[in-house]
Amino acid sequence: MKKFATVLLLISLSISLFAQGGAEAQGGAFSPSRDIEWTVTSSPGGGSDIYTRMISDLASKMDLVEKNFLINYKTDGGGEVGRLTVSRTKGDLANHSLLTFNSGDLMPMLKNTDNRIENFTPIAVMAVDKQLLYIGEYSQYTSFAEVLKAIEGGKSVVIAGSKGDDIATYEALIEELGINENQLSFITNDSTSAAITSILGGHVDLCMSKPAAASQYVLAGKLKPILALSQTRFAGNLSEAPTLSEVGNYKNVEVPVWRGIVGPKDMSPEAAAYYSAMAKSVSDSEAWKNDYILKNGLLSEFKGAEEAAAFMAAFQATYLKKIGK
Amino acid sequence: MEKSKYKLTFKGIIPIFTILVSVIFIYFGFTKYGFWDPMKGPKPGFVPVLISFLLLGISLLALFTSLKEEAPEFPKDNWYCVLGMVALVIGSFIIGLIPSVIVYLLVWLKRFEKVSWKSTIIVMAIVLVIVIGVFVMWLGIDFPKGIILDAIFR
Amino acid sequence: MDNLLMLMQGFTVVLTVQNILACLFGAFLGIIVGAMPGIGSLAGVALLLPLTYKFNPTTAIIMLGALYYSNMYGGSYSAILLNIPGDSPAIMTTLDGYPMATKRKRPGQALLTANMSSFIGGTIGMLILTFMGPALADIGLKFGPAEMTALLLVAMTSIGWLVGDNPVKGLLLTCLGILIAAMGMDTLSGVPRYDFGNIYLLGGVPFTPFVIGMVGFAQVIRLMGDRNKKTESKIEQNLTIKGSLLTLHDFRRLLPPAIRSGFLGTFVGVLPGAGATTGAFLGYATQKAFKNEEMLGTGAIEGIASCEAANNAAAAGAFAPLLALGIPGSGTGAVLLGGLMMWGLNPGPLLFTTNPEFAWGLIASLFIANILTLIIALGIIPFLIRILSVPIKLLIPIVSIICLVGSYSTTYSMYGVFVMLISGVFGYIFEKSGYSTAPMLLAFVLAPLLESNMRKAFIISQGSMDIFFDKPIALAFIIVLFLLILFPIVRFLLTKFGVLKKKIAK
Repeated sequence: MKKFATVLLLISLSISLFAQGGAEAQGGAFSPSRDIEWTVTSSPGGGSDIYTRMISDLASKMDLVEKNFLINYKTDGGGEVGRLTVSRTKGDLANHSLLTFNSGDLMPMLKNTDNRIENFTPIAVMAVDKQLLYIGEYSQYTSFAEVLKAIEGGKSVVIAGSKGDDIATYEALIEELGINENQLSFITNDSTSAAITSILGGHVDLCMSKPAAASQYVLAGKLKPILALSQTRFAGNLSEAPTLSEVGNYKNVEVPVWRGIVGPKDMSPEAAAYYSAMAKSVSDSEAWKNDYILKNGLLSEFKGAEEAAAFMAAFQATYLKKIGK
Repeated sequence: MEKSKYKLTFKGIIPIFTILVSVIFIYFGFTKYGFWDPMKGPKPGFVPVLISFLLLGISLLALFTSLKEEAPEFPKDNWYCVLGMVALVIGSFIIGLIPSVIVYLLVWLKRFEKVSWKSTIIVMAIVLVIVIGVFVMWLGIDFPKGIILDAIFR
Repeated sequence: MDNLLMLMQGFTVVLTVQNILACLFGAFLGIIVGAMPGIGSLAGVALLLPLTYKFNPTTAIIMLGALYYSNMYGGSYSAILLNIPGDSPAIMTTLDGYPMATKRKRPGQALLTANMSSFIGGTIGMLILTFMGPALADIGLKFGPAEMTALLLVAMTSIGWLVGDNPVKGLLLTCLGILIAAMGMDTLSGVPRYDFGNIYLLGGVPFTPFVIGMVGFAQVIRLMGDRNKKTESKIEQNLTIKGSLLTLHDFRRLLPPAIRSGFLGTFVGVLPGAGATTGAFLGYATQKAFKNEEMLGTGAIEGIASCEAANNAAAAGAFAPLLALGIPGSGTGAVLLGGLMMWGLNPGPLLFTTNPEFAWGLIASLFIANILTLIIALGIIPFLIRILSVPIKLLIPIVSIICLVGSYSTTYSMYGVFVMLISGVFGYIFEKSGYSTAPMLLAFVLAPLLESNMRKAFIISQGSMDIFFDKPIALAFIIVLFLLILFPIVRFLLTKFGVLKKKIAK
């Protein structure tokens, strides 16, 4: 009995060794040896989900990856649990784990937890988005210059926006304008569509939104852009909105919203390079440009692994300083 | 004498609990989250603190009236159900959810309820069809596989 | 009139063999998904969305619409048969559905009532949608933060109806419900509240596992006491459709509540932030103010009719802002919106002008889905009733596992299961101590909505109360609120002073 048990023990130990060591035996170029687990920290059907599926579907369709993608939804704790889990993934699994990571994820993570970008391996930035300020049909202001004049005259103006990214842009705006948050106040909504609802009903003065969510209302004439929160004017039917420097003696305000991909800290540089190359191919493809970027009014701005790492680290540093951590 | 002491605790158990909750919420509400902002109105702590005060008052009232009532009985049997669920949860962490479900059904039906083999198998079949058929295969939900299976297969 | 013609055109789009089959398929799937506790319409639609990619856009949209709609039907089944709501709108259905099925031994009638009321409520909702869709959506827009606050305050008084005989206990749980709902991320300030440093609590207490535990698992724990009782054999007679038919009298009882709730539900569905759950709650609570042949909560037909009609009507009503303005009223709406956009449909002000065939095709398909779902639902009633004849001993482990699996699915993690387990134990203790959990659940849903709207209103008004009196709609509801609060007080005083003779109890 004892002998049998010892043999059994030895066999099971060696099996587990093999299971662990298989993939790491290869040096040099990385190639996935198992299905890739991609974590999304928001509910299925939302923006991040569509983004993730788009990339994974294109990667599979374009035969960039032989293995399948398994998309996991980890929404606990507002997404923090999912992010924490991915950051702590070790071993071989770390080379086969991806996480959809946006600026709107990084900011609350820095604010409410101790997790930092150093616990991840940045792989790519795929797209960038910026905001505009809009007026509705019932607005008493017709241009941003008017808004500024009203504020100087002592009136208070209300902007409706969404949680996450919009707040950072708002804070940058009032800092540049040199006014406080009671003169130009911000109402945080759970989503941009809720913000748009409130301006369509005439309950707030201004609405902050990214181009995609507002485009159809602009087309229908229900919303009009009056300020471009970026370095240059936007294209198409948004081109009439001036940038801040055109309105007055100010610097342009821009807090770009980015969508990226990261992996666990333990991911090997080769694996990161592999996924980065995969992301670049997806980003360069026509399908991506037409079916995702153009459709959603985004700007394609690909950053590879190293560039993304520097970019995200700089973003983190700026934000941490701002919130005083 | 001892029996009535027991009854006393059971009677007041809920109001006592809510009093505790209201005190904690009031404390954090005032100290951490703020009450009222002159320009913006209610701060995050406003509604919780107000409601907690209300809860505190009502709980005290409930505590006094509960003393006059009969204590509720909590038969031992019902807690087996809770224990079963706790075992299921722990099992899911160790051997995974679906294996735990199978073990739970076997233990519960055979040893606890002493049901015939035929019924046990039918029940297991129905449950597995629902869980695997609907949730795993169709809806694609990933159930935990437990530490042990994870270690072997990863 | 124009709209009717467009609707007819929509029907021609829908009435092809392929589309009808898709509708049937979607309806069937939706019922199953809706009946599973834990998988509500949000998860159901989101998870089944990829299935629809394979088909062409029109067919896919029709299937999706049918799916969304039939979810509302399915939720009532487990509510009536097992006292476990299949999704949050079905919570109120358990209050009268389960007693009617078990105590009054009329399970078939309960299911039939639920189905018929769902059908009536849904049809009313869709008719209103057809003729007044865009106008309705505009009315919804008029309800900004101040108006919603006033409206919700009125709605909160409806909790008073639910509280019933023991106001102290009812109010206690209501307050507790509000506090639990406050836990988690506070959107308006960006600050997490009452998370006590726990990373899971950062996201708050998720509603669905909370309900599954408090209503469902608590029920299972309670059943342990009954498991050795012999199952009544009287149920045998009602296992056929014939035995499940409603009498004419029953039917007459369910019509008024269903129609009333149909209108109420549609309106609630249009409001920003309020969905099928709120609709069902308000439909039920309002019913308390009307005459009911049997007391609500004991298995009254009126109870089932009012909430089921309201929740289907709200689902229809939610389509108004979705299609006409591109504004999803709820999480489910957002997923539908995403799906619609994937097929190049851009719901919004331009939809009815640029893509009328799609839009009206979708609306027409909802009508068809309503009818098809009703037919399927009626057909499976005998099968469903058999569930009741399963011995309780066997039912307990089966239902426990469904609670477990359902709660896991809501959060994709064991967190949901923990919430379910803890709230189950609490729910059991509450019921045993004479506290009813319905007011707590209603408060959990309404209070966060009320709080966020109130705070937004104050930001707009810069901290002043004037906004509630300046805006006409808000003012109207505030007046209603005062009337509702004063009315019982005034009546009490008048009776005391002998002005109003006390009503002699029958």
